[in-house]
Amino acid sequence: MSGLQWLRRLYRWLTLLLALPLLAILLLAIVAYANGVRVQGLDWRDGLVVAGWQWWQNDCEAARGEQLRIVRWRPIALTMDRLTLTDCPSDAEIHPAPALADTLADTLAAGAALPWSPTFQLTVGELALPDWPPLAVTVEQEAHRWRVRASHPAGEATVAYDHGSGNWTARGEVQAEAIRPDLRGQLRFEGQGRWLAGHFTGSLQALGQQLGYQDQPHRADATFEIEMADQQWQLQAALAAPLALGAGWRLEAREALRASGSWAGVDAASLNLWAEGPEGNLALVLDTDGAGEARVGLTGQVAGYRLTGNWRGRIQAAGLTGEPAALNVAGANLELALRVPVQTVRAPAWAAEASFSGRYGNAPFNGTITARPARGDWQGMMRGQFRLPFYDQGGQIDAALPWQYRDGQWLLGADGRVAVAQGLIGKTLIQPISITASQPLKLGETGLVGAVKIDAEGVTAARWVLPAATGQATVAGRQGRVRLQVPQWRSDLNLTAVLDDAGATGTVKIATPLSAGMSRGLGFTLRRGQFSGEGSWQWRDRWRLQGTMQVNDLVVNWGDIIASGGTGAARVRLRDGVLTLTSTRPIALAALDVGTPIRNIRMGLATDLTTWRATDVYAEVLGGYLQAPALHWPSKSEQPVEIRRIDLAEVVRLHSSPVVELEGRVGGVLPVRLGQDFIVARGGRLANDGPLALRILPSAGATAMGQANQAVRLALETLSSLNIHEFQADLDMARDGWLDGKVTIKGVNPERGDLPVVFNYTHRENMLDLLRSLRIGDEVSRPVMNRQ
Amino acid sequence: MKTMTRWLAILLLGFSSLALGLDLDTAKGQGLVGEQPDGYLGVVQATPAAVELAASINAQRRAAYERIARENGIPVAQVATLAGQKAIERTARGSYVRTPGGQWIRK
Repeated sequence: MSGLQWLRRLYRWLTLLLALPLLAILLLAIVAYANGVRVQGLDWRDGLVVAGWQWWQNDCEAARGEQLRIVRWRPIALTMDRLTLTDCPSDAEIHPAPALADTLADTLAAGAALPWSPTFQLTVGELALPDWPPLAVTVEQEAHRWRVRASHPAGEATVAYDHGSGNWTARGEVQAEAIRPDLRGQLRFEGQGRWLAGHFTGSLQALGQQLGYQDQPHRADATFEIEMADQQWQLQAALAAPLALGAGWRLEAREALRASGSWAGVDAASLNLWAEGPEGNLALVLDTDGAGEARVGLTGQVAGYRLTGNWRGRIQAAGLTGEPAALNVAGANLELALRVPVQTVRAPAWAAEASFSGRYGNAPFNGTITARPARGDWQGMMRGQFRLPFYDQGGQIDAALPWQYRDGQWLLGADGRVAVAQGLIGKTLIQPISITASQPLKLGETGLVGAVKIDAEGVTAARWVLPAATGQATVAGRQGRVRLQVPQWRSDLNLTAVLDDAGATGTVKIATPLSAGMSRGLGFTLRRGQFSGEGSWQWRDRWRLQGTMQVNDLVVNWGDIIASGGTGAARVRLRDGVLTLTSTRPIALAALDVGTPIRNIRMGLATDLTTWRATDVYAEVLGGYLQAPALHWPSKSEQPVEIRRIDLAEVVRLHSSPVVELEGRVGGVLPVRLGQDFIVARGGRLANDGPLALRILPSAGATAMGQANQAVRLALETLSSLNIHEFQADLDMARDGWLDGKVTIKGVNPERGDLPVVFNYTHRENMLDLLRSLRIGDEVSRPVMNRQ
Repeated sequence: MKTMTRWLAILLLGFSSLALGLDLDTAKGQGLVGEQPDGYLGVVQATPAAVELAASINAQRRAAYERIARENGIPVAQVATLAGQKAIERTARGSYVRTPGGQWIRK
């Protein structure tokens, strides 16, 4: 081999040698990439710096690191500013996984399978784990000795493991506040043992010091001791004093808790707890017999309800077996029986389905509740049937409510629906009502908080109908607010409510235009108007309401009687089933057309919708006016109506072709009795209010009568023109509308040399017909003619 | 008045026809509804069907009473009361009618 050939071969070997590390780095990068590792921002600043990296699993970012630095190469030391681990769905959630206990047992039996690594130290400034506070963590390995130290402002823990000897130790302390913000006290633990393949032994002692709740003075020490050997364990726990549980409740261990078992489950347990709080007390006893069957008993009295519960079965790591667990609640108005078959409470789903039944008052209810864990939370569905106690028939409630327990918060999920079926309250038919939650409702200590949508199909009674209504309700515990619209009536109702132990109170506000469709139950027809009202209400076995209401621009009609331009304001009060209205300012009507137009009507008014009491009544009619201090309807007594300055010319003008001319004014008093559906007048008297003048106008009829009869012609000539100085009419009107009048006229005929005239006549007229016909002129003339 | 009486006769005849269609006679026979002096059907024994039936017929009666009242120039209540008297007179024996005092009695 020549020297040149040797050099060439050496050069190839050197080239290959130099390429190998690069190939190895390239291969490592390819493998990492294939396993979902992504890296960004490679740099060199006093060492290799990786600005960011992520590890992806099944499209989920399982880990994210920031600012990874290699600060020393030999032995290697790394730092990372922040490491975030995410709880990604694992294959176990896609494919059934072996039971946790089996996995744990297998792992402990197999020994620690820690990967080979060079001596190293990794320091993470902030390790973020789901449901954990941020931790500072250091992991180091030297000569197969592993050591992990985690610290937090509220505590620290250190675990060491010698891979060669299998010895392990653990020790730490943590403030209870770090576990839950409202807890107080400190927990210390210390343990040691050995972990080799097929062999795991050890003991762990924990001491809780001054444990309690922030708002309660009670503090207690607790001890826990666990011994583990050959896949068996024993636990003993004791409370030195009653432990505060929050909300005024205290837990007392009447005996030390003892339990033993294997990694596969609990073989024996003994527990005797007593809880006592402001609402009552509970005793929980758990015991197992020699065959490993557990018996659980619960008795107590909480918030006036008696609680009893029991269960018998086996508690295993894979789940529960045995009889259904039973819980019974009994009180004055409530009886509830809950049954939970335990067969479904098993790994890996750990799902439960409970059935419940009972009664509230006289209303029975029943249903089911399902529950299952989902990614660290709990969720399920509650379905129930219930009947509203104040419905006399029907009114079944069908509820389908998805629920969730997430981050310590109970939620009734979106799309939850409560449907109230058609039902009767007395003789009023309540059409179906649907309540849906568009967003999850929170269930807290004060009750539900959130908003729901309401769709009510209406209310039907024999004489009236309330059309369909839609709206929104917001609830915050025992307070609620409802806004309802009735599209058919364009009505808007706002209601607030606060529940209390005796019932409920709240406010109500309503605004609506008035229309004929609202008049089905009324004796008159609403044609137009605007109604508004507001007030407060109360429910204490019966409804109470008080408030104010206003009506504007009101037009109503009774048959062909039309009232328009109505305005008014009144106080409203509902008490003992009676609704009363009392005007706060005069009720006014611009016009009332009863055949004869009446204008500027005003009065005070008080009514319970059965009797109507008008005061200071005033109305303008026929150029004069009438007034009455009080008019009650219906009434059995006569009530005087004062009539003043009625213009007789106005009376004549009611007729389109008048046959007489009248001048002057009359007035008097008309005592009236207003019956339920009639008017009676008795002892009425009208007299002239100053001089009057009467002139009979030429007409074909009068001329014909005069030509036919000499006496008639004489009478017509005598009465043809009269200056009247005395006019008096005594009036009585029966309930059928017939008016009997006795009229005396004294005057002179100026066309006959002031011939004195005294004219007496009786007049009979149906006033109801008269008012309708507007033919007063004809009706007056006819008796004059008939007088002959 | 003659016109109104004529209308009332037609109205009552109409109610009889309605009764056949809406099974009012059955409801009356079962004692679920009855005639009242105010001219409207009342619910004697509440069931959803009885309330719906009474509401439906009363709505039609109310519209008819109003039309008659307008044409005759009298209050709706007066027409309704007159119709109520006639309806009670025409009620078959054994069916419920309401007294002016508010009591339901079998005719």
